[in-house]
Parts: sequence; C-alpha cells; structure tokens
Amino acid sequence: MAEIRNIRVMEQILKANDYLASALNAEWDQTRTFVVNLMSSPGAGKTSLLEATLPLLKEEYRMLVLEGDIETERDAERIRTQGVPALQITTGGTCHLESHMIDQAWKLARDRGPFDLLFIENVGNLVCPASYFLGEHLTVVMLSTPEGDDKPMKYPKAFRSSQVFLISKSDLLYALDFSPERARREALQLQPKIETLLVSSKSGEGMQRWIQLLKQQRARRFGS
Amino acid sequence: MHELSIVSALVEQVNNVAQAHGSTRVRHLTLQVGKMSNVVPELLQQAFEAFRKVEPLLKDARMEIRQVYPLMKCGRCSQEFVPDTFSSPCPRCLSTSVELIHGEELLLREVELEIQDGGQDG
Repeated sequence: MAEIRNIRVMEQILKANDYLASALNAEWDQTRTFVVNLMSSPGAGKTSLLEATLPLLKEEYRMLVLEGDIETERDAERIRTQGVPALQITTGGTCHLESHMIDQAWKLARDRGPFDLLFIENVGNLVCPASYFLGEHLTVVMLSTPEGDDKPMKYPKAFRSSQVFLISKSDLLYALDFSPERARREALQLQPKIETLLVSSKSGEGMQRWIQLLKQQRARRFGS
Repeated sequence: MHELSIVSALVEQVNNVAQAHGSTRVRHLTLQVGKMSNVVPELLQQAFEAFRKVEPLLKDARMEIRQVYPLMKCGRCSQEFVPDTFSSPCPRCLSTSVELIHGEELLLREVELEIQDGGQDG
C-alpha cells in the first residue's frame, strides 16, 4: 500500500542559485574583489562602457571581466585588446547568467588573480537577469537613450534590484526625445535609493563620475 | 523567458524533497507566484509539461500555481493596499513613497508524495 504524504516546503525556487551566489560573495569579500553586475537590453552599450571604463582604472586596479552571451567569443576578445583578462561565458541559449556559470568561470580565472575589481557583463536582456543574484556587490542597470525614457516602469524588476542606473549614449540626446529627468524619476519610483548617471562611452561625458562612483563603492566595502 | 530555467531549478528542488522522504512518485506540487515576480504562469506550466515527459518522478504530477496579489505599504501614512503597478501611489494620502511588502515571491509551497511501504520517515 502506498501512502500519500503532503510535505510543506515553503522555499524559494531559486534558493540554490542564491545560496551559491552568497558563497561567491563571501569569497569575494575575502579576496577583496569588488564585483559589479551590469545589466541592459541588447545593444545598450555594455561592452562599449567597459571598453571606456577599463583604461581609466587599469593603473590602479587589477581587473577581470566575465562576459555573458548566448553565443560567440566576440565581447571577450574586445575586452582583451584593452589588456584586461576576460572570460567568455556562452550560455548556449539561456537568456541570463546564473550563479553556477559565474562559479565555474571564477574557478578558472581566480588563480590568475588577485583581482580588485570584477565586472560581470550579463546577457543583453532586461527581464530575466534581474531574477538571478550572482553574488555581486553592486548591481548596475543601463538604458541607452534611443530605447526611450519610459522603459524603467516596463522592466520594474531590473530597476528594483539595482543600485545604479546608467543612461548611456548621452551623445545622441540632441537627436532624441529622451528626457533623462523623466527616466531618473521613474527609476526612483521603483527604487528610492537608485543613483542615476548620464554617460557616453563615445564622448566621455559622465565617465569621471562613473569612475568616482566605482572607486567610492569599492572603498566603502573594503576601505581604500 | 527564463521560465525553463526556473522549472529546472524547481525539478531539482522537488527531487531533493522526494529523495529525503524515500518517494519515487510526486503527485502534486503547489507553487506560490507573486504577480510581480517577473514570470508568466502559463510558461511555467508549459516548461513543467516538458520536464514531466523526461522525469519519471514527475510522470503523474500536476502543478498548481497560486498567484498572489502584490501588497504595498505607504511610507507616509502606513496604509496597506493592493497596487495596480509598481508606480501606484497611496490611495489614502497619494504619497508616492510606497514600499512593496510582497508580490515578487517565487516559492515552492507544498509537494504531495506517494510513499511506498518501507519509505523513510522524515
């Protein structure tokens, strides 16, 4: 005779992801590696932002970049030409990064360290990546001006889980009806503590403030 | 479209529960999904059907999704209310300084298992 038993579980379905992410976070605290998770839709300029960011930090910090894409090694190659080690994570169809992918890549890369700063470039997508904590210290969401200033409310979770909001491609503002103030206010409604910066990887606008912010956040976590 | 990944994590979770109780057959599972959790229940159900075909443990299992309305609390007058969107102001004092209390969760609530004689307790 078979018995039927009802088991009350009440657990987060993504518990395993979050558990591993927390373990990574603890390891990065020990190695004093400040980790940034960068999210945006495809083509908002995540890789371009990193290409503009790395040269400004290279003298002071040892850095590593993990590039998430569904296919190709292209982004990692772009980063390597900056003289910064980069590992490509190809998800093979999965539309976001999960902590086990980061764990695998980090285990391959960490012996080449120590690293002061680790940038994780998530798969271009404003929906799914927001559900997966990767153990990062700072979550950054980026929106490019051609996408429109009404996007924060359309992707609430991405904004709610971020501490920094970058509005990229500010050099195109002259040609668009994008109001940075409107976008900033929408983001603040979703996440009252979010800090908004207007940047352009091309013209360099806002890059000094972005670099300052990264340095301050890292110093706040680990001391200088 | 990360529902497939979520169900993949769910299947592992259910597997662990079944193993812990010495069961090889799951009859029913209940999820609790917040309306603001960023997932589409129909897609979860479809992904579950796909896994059911390849996971013997789940062959006869049905999945029930309980959707939960979000609840917000006003930071000024403490009124609790069900918002339409993330940007809904407080219906009492119209303050926009509001906080989501729940509605983003993605939980495995219950699993109903069939346990053959000689199954473990626990």
